[in-house]
Amino acid sequence: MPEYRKDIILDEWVIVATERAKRPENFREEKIKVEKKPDAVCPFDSGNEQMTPPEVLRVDKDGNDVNEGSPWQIRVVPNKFPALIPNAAHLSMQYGIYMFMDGFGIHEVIIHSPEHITNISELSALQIRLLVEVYIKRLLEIKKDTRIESVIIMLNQGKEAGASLEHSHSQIFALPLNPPALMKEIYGTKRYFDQTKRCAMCDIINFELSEKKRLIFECSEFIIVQPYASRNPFETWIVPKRHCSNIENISSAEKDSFAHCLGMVVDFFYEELSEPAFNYYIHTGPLQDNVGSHYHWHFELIPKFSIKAGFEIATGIDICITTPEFTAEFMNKSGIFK
Amino acid sequence: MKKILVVEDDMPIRNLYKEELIDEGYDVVTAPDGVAGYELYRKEMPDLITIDIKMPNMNGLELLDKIRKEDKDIPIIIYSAYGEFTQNFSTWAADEYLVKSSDLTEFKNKVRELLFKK
Repeated sequence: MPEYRKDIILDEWVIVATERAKRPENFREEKIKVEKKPDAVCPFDSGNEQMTPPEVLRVDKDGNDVNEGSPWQIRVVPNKFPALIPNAAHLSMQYGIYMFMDGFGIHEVIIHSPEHITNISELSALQIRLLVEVYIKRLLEIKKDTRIESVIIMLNQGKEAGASLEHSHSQIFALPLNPPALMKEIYGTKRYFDQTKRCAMCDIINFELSEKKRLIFECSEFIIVQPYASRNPFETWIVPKRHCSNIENISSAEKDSFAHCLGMVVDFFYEELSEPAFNYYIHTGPLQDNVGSHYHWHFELIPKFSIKAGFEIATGIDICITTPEFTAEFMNKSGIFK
Repeated sequence: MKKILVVEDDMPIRNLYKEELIDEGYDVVTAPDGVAGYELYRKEMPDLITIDIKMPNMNGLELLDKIRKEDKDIPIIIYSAYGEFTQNFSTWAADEYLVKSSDLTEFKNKVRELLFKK
């Protein structure tokens, strides 16, 4: 029988198809590979640096900040044709019954490698660790602008996930407001805290560690888990064990562990599920106030295995066509998570 | 005299750009699609190219890629009715992306600026 399952943070129901659950290995057949264009001109390749705006950060393979012209491992550049403008006025104004403000914000692109790699899993463990360092470094720098309320670090892997260029890259969006997806989590964790005096994500960690049905990996700093009320097949979370609302406060050891977890997760999708398209993002608490002290930062990866149809759009209730217990078992058998 | 290649499938718009750019003192050649645009690029060796995106035969992004393979330095402006392609990072191979407007002031300013930089 299908089950309604409740997301205790968002206070929303999802439907998990337990009876007609699709076997995890069958998702391999639905691979949507990126169409590689090895001969296309790529603005992110080494040698084409003049096609991007001047970089805000260039680091070498050892993680040192280096100057323009030096060999690089990761470059961070502002969006060349931005939808959000860093020097726009940050003033909200009334228009009749409506409200508007100028399109203030920051949009940066993190180019993962000078080589034309097309999947983040092609990065080495050291490169992934460097990427995590760059995420934090940029977040701390952006945070200095007190007009910025929230930062979203995200990656689109594959055309179906919205990647417009195959060269592996992440993006950072810094906004003068907290976006609805984050606010729903913040309100949800606040509501849960008010009711129980506990953090919802800390409770999830403890329950998943005790039950182990959806647990993929555990180390001293993080767990990798398939969420109980999963909205998507193979939806995967990386959650820090230490309660902390903002990722920029993580220690060096936590960065090591997070990079290790991230590397294993992207390797799994590349090697065991034949390179599906996916989106990942880091949800971290608001930057400028304590509204999220009960909030618990985390990473979410959403594979593109299903399309929201009329039912999901009309009701807001997602249907997951396999169970997180099933997919967790499959992931555990892969031997990748160690 | 600087030569500009305008690649634009809509004939009235193509002619308008041509007249406006001639008035600015440029030599202008035009093409109605990407294939003809590429041929003219090879034949005429322009100093600057403006490219529409949605065109028959070969679209503007394909043309941009084809030209950039041969010349990383020639100034190229994408001049499209559609702003959403700014979120396609392959457009970064162009020097500028402008959304079409009935007021050609920004377009002409950008042409002047890019030719000056060259």
